[in-house]
Amino acid sequence: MLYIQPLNEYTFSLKSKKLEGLARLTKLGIPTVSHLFIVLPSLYKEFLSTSKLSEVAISELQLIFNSILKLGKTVTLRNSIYEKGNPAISFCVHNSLNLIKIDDFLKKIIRGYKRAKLMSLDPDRVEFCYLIQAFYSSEKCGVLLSNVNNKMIFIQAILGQTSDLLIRDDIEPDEFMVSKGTYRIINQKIATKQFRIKKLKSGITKIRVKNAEQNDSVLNTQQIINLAKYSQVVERTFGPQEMEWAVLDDNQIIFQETRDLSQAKNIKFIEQAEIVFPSEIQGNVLNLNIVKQKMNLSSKIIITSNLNISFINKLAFLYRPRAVILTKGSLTSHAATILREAKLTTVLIKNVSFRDGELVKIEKDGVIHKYYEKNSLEQ
Amino acid sequence: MKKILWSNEIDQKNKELVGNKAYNLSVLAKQGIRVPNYFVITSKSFSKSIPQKAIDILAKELALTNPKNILSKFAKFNDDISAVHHRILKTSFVNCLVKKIIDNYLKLGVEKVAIRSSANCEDGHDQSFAGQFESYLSVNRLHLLPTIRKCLAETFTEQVLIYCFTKKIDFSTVKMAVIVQEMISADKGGVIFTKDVFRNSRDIVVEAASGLGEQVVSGSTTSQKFILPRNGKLLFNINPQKSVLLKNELNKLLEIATKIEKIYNSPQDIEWAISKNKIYILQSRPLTG
Repeated sequence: MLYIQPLNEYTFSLKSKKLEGLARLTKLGIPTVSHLFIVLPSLYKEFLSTSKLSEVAISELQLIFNSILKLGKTVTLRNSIYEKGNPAISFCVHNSLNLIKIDDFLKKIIRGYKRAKLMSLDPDRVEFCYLIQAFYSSEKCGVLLSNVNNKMIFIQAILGQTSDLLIRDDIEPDEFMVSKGTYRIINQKIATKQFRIKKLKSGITKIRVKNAEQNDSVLNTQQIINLAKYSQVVERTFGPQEMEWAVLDDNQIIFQETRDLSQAKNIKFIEQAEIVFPSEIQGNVLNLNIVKQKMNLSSKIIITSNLNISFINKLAFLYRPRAVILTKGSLTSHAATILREAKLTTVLIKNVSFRDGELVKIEKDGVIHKYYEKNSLEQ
Repeated sequence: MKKILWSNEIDQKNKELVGNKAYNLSVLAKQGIRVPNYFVITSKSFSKSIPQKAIDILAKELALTNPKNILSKFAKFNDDISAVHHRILKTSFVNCLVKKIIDNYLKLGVEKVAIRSSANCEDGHDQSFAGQFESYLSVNRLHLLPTIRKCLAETFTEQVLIYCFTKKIDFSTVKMAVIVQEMISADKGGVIFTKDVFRNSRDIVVEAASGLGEQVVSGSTTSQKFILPRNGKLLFNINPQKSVLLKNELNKLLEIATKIEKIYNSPQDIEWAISKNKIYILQSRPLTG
């Protein structure tokens, strides 16, 4: 075909990071979006000079469209627009889901090209591709970071159909930290999920989750392990990755995108502690159960399981660290009472571990953020 | 002047001699709250055991210390207070006091008792002294006198020194009475805060564990937490197989806690125990912080 290339024949010739990522996955045999076809930038270039799709182009598009319908699926049309140094450009043309009529399909393509023309997207600078793929239905999706501190894999998961939704404030994801070596789940936070997101033809809708299911984990252990293992396959060839994934209705895992992790922001892993004395504080952690005379703790966030009153008095009244994280006891213990009386920022949380030096932020509502800085990957 | 006072003999006039804990418990008992029976050995009874001169000198040095220098001087203060502590442990009680203690212990009519501190400065609005002094549980006749001596000696420790110094309390004015109280064999115990200080709401916080409530305050056991709304209607269902407390027990604790809060007219930190379906109050003090 002149204008369309199947993903499994893609030769890494385009600049699009999205395409590059999909091609990486396909090359390594990682399950990804099935029946994916790339509409090459040459079609956009041609459109700019003729303002219409050629008969050959229409014929090829019809062929692909019908081949997907024959599988009993509907068609999704996504854009892949790339301009060096301009990440916002990829949002200028909308994606279309669940297309079942060829006329609608062709109209969407033309509309996208017209919009790009209106925005004067120069084909010599801008690479404009369409991705045609079978629409898949999934109940769960999320993102994955294949390398955190060279020791762990970080997974976020929501009930829904697109991981773009992770940027919405009204959705709190489940979070999992998995050991790179053993694939053991080291830490997890299960969110309360009041609704799931569903993509319909008419748009995105929220569906309420039953009360009894709201605190269920999005993923089971095997799914977490499988996601982690796949990510390491990709990382071994291409380096640390940020990956978007979904679990289809038939429980099959697929990856929708992958890109180099160096493009990712700092990661936060969140714990919810109980508040003893609230305040917003940030600092480096120090695990401490004994105080030695010449210690300077004023800049530290102390983590301790030692509730001995002599020790607590020293912390509360003499050494005054920035904050204290108690990992033992109760809110009404003597230790908690003394720390509250001393007005020292204190929270209580059990079954967590922090390493000395880790950067931590304690919010007024007791949420603890652990920061994994991206440059720590180079350690 | 009486060396020993029973709960029903305590009033405002002898409050300074029996300490705040003993006084607060007597107020509750007079209001019909179930408190384990007890007597108090007044602070004046121990005057011959306390090296007051050494304490006065230490208190003066402490008062003159600049807070910026406290850390560097602390080792010396610690040595001084340890010496006082040691002296008290070594000093026997006078014979007449010993006789009175034994007689009243026998009058209590139980084999095992709790020995608890009752200082004139603790359980205040701004200074709880939470955990600063010691309580000793399940003490029998054989260990009665040594434990009372130990309880008294625990007035003079590094932690109390730090607390007094920070709160600007004159250390030499701290006077300790000792409560000898019927030991309750607790099926369940814990703490109640009659205000949710963590979320600054009027809800009542109950923490409970199987066995002694001492485990909750010392943090040595995992406790269950219940948040109770003020209108008295529990909004949640309790699973009796998983919950330490049953619904009727929570309702009763809520009732007693609000009654105690009314008596003192301020939010309270209450230690309680349940034994054979009866709720006992072991301590109540103003909620600090």
